[in-house]
Amino acid sequence: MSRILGVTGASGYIGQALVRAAAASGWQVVALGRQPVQGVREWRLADLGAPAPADLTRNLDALVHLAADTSGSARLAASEEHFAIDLARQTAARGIPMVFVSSQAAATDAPSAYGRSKFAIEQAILPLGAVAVRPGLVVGGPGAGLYGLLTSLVRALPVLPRLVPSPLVQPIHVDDLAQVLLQASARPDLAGRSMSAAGAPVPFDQLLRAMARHRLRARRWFVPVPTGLLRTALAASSRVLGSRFSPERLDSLTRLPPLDARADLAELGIELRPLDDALQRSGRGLRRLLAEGWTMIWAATGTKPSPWLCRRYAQMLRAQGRHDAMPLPPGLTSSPMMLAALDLLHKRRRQCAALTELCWRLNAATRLAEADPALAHGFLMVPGRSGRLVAVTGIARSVVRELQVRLAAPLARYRARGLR
Amino acid sequence: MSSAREAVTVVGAGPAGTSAALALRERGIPVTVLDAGTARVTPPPVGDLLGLRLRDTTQWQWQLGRHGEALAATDQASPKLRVPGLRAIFEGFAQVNRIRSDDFQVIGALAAGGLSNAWGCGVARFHEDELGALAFDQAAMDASIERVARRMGLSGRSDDSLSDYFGLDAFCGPALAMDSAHRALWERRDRLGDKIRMGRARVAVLGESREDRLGCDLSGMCLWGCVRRATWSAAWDVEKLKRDPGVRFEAGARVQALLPDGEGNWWIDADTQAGPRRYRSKRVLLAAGTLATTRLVLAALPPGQPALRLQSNPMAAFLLWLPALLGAPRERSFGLAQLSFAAELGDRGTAFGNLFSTAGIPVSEFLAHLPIARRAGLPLLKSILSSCVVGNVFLPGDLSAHEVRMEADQGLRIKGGDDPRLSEAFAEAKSLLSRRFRKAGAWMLPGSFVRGQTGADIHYACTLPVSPRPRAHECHLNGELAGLPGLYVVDGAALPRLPAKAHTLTIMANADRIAGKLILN
Repeated sequence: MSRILGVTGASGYIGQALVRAAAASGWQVVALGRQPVQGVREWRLADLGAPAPADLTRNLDALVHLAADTSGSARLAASEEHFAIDLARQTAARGIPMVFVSSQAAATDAPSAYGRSKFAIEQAILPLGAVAVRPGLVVGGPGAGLYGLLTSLVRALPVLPRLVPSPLVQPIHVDDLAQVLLQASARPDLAGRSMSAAGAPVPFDQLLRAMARHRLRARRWFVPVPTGLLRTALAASSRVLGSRFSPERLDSLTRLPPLDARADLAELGIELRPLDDALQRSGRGLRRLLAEGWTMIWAATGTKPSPWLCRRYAQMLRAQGRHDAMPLPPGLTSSPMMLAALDLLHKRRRQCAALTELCWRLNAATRLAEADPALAHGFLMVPGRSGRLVAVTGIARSVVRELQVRLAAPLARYRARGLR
Repeated sequence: MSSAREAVTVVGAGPAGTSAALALRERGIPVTVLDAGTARVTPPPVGDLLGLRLRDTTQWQWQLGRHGEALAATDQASPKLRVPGLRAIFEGFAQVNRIRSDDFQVIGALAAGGLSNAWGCGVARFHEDELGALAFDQAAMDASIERVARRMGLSGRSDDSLSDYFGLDAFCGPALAMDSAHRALWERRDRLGDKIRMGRARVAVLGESREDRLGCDLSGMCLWGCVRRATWSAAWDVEKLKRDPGVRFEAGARVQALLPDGEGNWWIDADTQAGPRRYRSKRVLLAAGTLATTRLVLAALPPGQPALRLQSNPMAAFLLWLPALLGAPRERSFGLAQLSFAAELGDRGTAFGNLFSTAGIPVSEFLAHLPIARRAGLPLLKSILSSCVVGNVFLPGDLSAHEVRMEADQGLRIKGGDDPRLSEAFAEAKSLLSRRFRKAGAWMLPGSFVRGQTGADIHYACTLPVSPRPRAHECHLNGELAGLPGLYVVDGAALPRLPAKAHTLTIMANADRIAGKLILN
């Protein structure tokens, strides 16, 4: 029998990822909330604004409490605290783990009501045996939550502020966080602990830059803006902009207490994906592998491949244990001519692991291209499109291409000087 | 345990093992066949190669494998060893048989049908001087050759300067049609001089359909697998054996050791899928393939045996370009050897080679070897490959000097080596072929003459040769090992000599001969 996981906030940004991950790990999910949720075993009515029903946690094997109010209403905050304590009492009575999703902003003197409320709940339920998880800035997956807000900002604005001094954020991919929550749900020994789940700190503008590059495939300009100035501007226009862009929200970004999550993540056996991967739409570098396939096939054959063929390239490489694009300097990967020149370099006996791998991939690209009927005419002199003239033209094209590649070779050699 | 059924056991179901088992069955003798194979060979694609390459959107599956298996096998020199559908045939051979090597590529097959699942189908008769000690029983060898040849179904008969060299025209069907490039060379064969004799290739391929096999339709799919079964494989004979109630066919039995039981029988220890198993048999015919058979024999002897000599045919490949045909389109053609040649290398013996169409081999295979960037090489190859033919050339086995010896854990260690004359022989072969083919209008492309890795020819032989007066590690004329009564060697290990020409038919004939004469009591 598979175990049953209760989840509040199952329809939210993190909740959806958690439901998916739980199902993949063999849990059955019971959603606790105001609205029915698709794709779960059962839905039970629960509302943060009211006391929790007495049998809300019946037959659960663990509970993850994700639901939170972000409106900042003081009345709800009190009720939310009561609700969490009810849940903690119930789970303690049943002897099942409860994982409470707190916030990096949780502190007694947090600038936002949200942070103060999270801190208050932590203080109340940890003694009852619950576990608190403080996530960093959650990114990845569908554009939702704060991440969704940032995504739409980066998409909408060609010029973005670079805050001075720059706040540090600690991004964690939503699927990685879901794994943390699942692991913690299966660990009664963590009762009463507060765990951190966050990546290494990066300057905020670097995160925006990476989002533009990996998620939106766009380049963005940054202008330095003193943080104090921005705060004043937000305060002045808070009536127009509403709570989404309140100065409090800015404060909660700039005044985050740093988290050191390394020990906690190690204890849970979780390794976070690199930031660049986390910001890919797929979250796993698929997009970069597809892009690599496109360049590789173009480099090897001189023909631009179909998206379908790039997808096959990515599939084949993954089946061969190559899950990501090669970490080559951007000056080399962007141009097919550079890759072709590296091919030549390798054939002329410059041996190093990176070049050997590169040529392995070029060979794979060539084999795949040859097995695609759409590109067969580039490989075979087919009846109807043959003849001496066609052949002589082909030989001439070969000479021209080789000259081009040789001209590009010194630059490629220079850019590849660091390859090992 | 020793029922009549286990009077004779054949170890291995490749060309030699099936030939021996079928010969025993013709005499009505019950036989047990122990075969290591469990691998399922993926059925080959249906259609003609050019049509499939221009239209089949799923061709990546049979060219590269669903998981890119062909890409994983880049260490294999020959395109054949990378064909995904054939990969299972070659897998696990060295590990299961505990064979290790230095400077030598070990290739073997555990699959039923053995290496013939993926062979070039070349056939030839060994003449008296090539048979060595087997010439002492030449009449029986001749009869066996005819029997085996008729069973396989040969084609390539032609009144040409290789008729005597091959010596098989009496049992061959007519030669298959050639493509234009080979026809052009064929028409100019008299310009090759007196050191190179060229003729049609004699191959174990059906020209006409018969029983359960269809004649060749020139689909060009030979490399990828012949769905019509026009090319002969011992796997077809395995099916016959499995249907025969007089045959106990044990699939997945990997023989590890042979021990005398003290009563004139042999214990045969095998790993099976159900765990270790022990068989007992009065006569054991070893046909596990030269390397595996050699290991079993050395393991049955006391420790401290000397190193044995192993022969193989040093091999090279090259590309010939016929400028007169530049611009010719790809055409439907037979994928195995269309023409063959024998080249005299003076005191280094006679080399033997074949010419093939380039059509059957992926262009990427050539591209990887070109000294220019792939994107530049592609239009070049597209332009000239259909006016090229691929050649291979084999040198006599006495130019190889490999050694095999037993290791402490009963594994076999192979040390690859060359006869001192080998480099000169290659240089001479290259120069002779290059000069003479140019006279016939075919240019050997610079840099295209490439020596194969030692051992990659897979023509392993001569470790336990038949001899009229056998010493230790040699076989009597009847195939029985000296000093090991009841153990017979019927595969390539028993050949006394390894000339450059194709040797499979001779191995099969010898197995047929030994089984035909096997005395039971």
